[in-house]
Amino acid sequence: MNASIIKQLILKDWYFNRLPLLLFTIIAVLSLGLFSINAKSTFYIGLVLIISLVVTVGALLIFSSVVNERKNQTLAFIMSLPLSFLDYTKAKIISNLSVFLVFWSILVTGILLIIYYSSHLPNGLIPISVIIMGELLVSYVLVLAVALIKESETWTIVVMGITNVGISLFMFLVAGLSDIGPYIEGPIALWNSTAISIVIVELILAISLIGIIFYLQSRKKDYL
Amino acid sequence: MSNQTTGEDITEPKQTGESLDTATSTRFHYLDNVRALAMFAGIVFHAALAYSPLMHNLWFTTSSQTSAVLDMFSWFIHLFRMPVFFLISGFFTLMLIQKRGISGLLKNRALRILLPFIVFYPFIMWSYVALIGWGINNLENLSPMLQFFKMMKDVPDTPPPELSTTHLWFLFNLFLFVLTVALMYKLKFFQSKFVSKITSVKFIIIIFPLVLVPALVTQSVPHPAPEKFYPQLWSFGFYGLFFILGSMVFLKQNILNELNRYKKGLLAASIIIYAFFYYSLPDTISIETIMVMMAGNNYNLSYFIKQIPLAMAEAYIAVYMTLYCLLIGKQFLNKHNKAFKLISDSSYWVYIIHMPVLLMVQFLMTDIEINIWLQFVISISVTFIIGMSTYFAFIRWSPIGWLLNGRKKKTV
Repeated sequence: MNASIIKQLILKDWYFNRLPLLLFTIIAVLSLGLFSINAKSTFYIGLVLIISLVVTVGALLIFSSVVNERKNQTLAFIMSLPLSFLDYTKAKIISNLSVFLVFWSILVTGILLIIYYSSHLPNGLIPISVIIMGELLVSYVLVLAVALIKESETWTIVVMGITNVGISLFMFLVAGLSDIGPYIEGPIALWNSTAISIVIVELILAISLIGIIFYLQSRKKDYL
Repeated sequence: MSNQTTGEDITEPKQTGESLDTATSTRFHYLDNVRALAMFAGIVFHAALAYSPLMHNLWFTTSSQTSAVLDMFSWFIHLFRMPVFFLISGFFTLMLIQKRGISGLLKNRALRILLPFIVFYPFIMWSYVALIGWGINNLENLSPMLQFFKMMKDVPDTPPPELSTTHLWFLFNLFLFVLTVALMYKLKFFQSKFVSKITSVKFIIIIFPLVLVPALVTQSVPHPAPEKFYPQLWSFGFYGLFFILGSMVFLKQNILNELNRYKKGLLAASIIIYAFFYYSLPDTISIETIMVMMAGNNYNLSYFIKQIPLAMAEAYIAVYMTLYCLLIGKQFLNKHNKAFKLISDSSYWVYIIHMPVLLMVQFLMTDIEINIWLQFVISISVTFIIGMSTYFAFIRWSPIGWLLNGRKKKTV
């Protein structure tokens, strides 16, 4: 393992995404502000913006650091470095996940704090918020896995489209669960077995997907 | 050479001038044809509302018979027919700017969009009032909406209903979008690297639908028409963005070729999302529900949790089906066809007059027991025949025809 080059590749991805990420973080903070206002339209728009931002940042990261790297021949340069394919995979997973998780964590923390401290939002919203944000994390890791494993822009776009469409279906299904839906407007965050199970399944899925990426990438003999 | 259009259609400029570059001098037959089909899809949609269980309490002409199949089909059309229209309009608007400049565009659009709106609006409004009045006084089986109007009429001091742009809302909104795009062009938005960069398959398939959701989430589901007599922000955030996307597509027409490989996926995704969307709709919407939704700022979280995924579903279907229609149109309708040309030429006029005609036809069938499908076919056919025949008999070669489609003359 060439730790020094892996570190340089991670820093490169951070560096090239710093400006869009700064912009998206500012928009994210504004969205959290809208989310916290006690009015129907701003609340809706704030929450929709938050979901859209998570999807957009995920897409930006995956396309700029994985898909376009292959498309724009940057990979040809990386191939010349003393770096195994598994090292390259490690660098991509760490850079992508670290950036995404920072952004995602800011939003999750912001949402939870706003729900907890605002008088107009019931704490019952906390479990479903965590579950939905967890689904966005799993979707992101799934698309990252497809981008790294399939190495195809078309496949990445198709899976990203499917996961985006899946967000709406997922929200609807979760809100319809008898152990989740009726407690959304409750005064306390009810972490019943269903809510906890969904979050655990999401975590297992995210971790498993990362494992699958490493397993499948380790079977590849070369970059091409 | 056959007759050539020397004036303009609702959204398309005339094709003249050998000095113009290819982009502005090519005739986009498939866009003409798809736009005409989108206009006629409006007639089908409005005709189907009479048999919609969902709209039973809210539409003027509701039959005693309803059809879930018809309902499912018509709401599917509803989600993309106007986005298709606005995207094509945006495409031709930028084409017109590049041909004639901003002042030329504004002059042309004022003549083709604003003036017809001003001219036809009083007649359309009067016809609605007259038809509804006639329906209330003469029909035995009043629809819940007509019963409501009748009740309101009998209550003294009832405030008059808010003035609406009726189904001509598309003209009103179209002109506002033209002004917006003209301003954006003036500010060099379309010439920016940003626009060039985001006009990509990735952006259109992944991000663009999400950009539409904030507008849709503020509206009831299925989304209504933005028919108020003032600019409605959500209309800019939904239809307006399709219009801008159309302008962006004009600047990067190759994007449609790039999108072609996703065509089947776009259709499949739309159908899957629609199945969920339709399943999630209520069986029917009552007048009380609409009044509560319109009145309050007090939100209900259970309602909102369902509202966001439904708005997302609407956005994805609108974008994916709009793209699918363009791509399928480009594949099969990108040729000059006399029949389509006639339909295309008449579509503007037919759309303007279709609602009063349709209401009249459906009112006349209200008290007669006819099979629902036969009623549906009759209402569409009669509306279509009246629209087309009046166009060819009185409009095409008249000043009204010149106003709508530009003056036609024989060329050698």
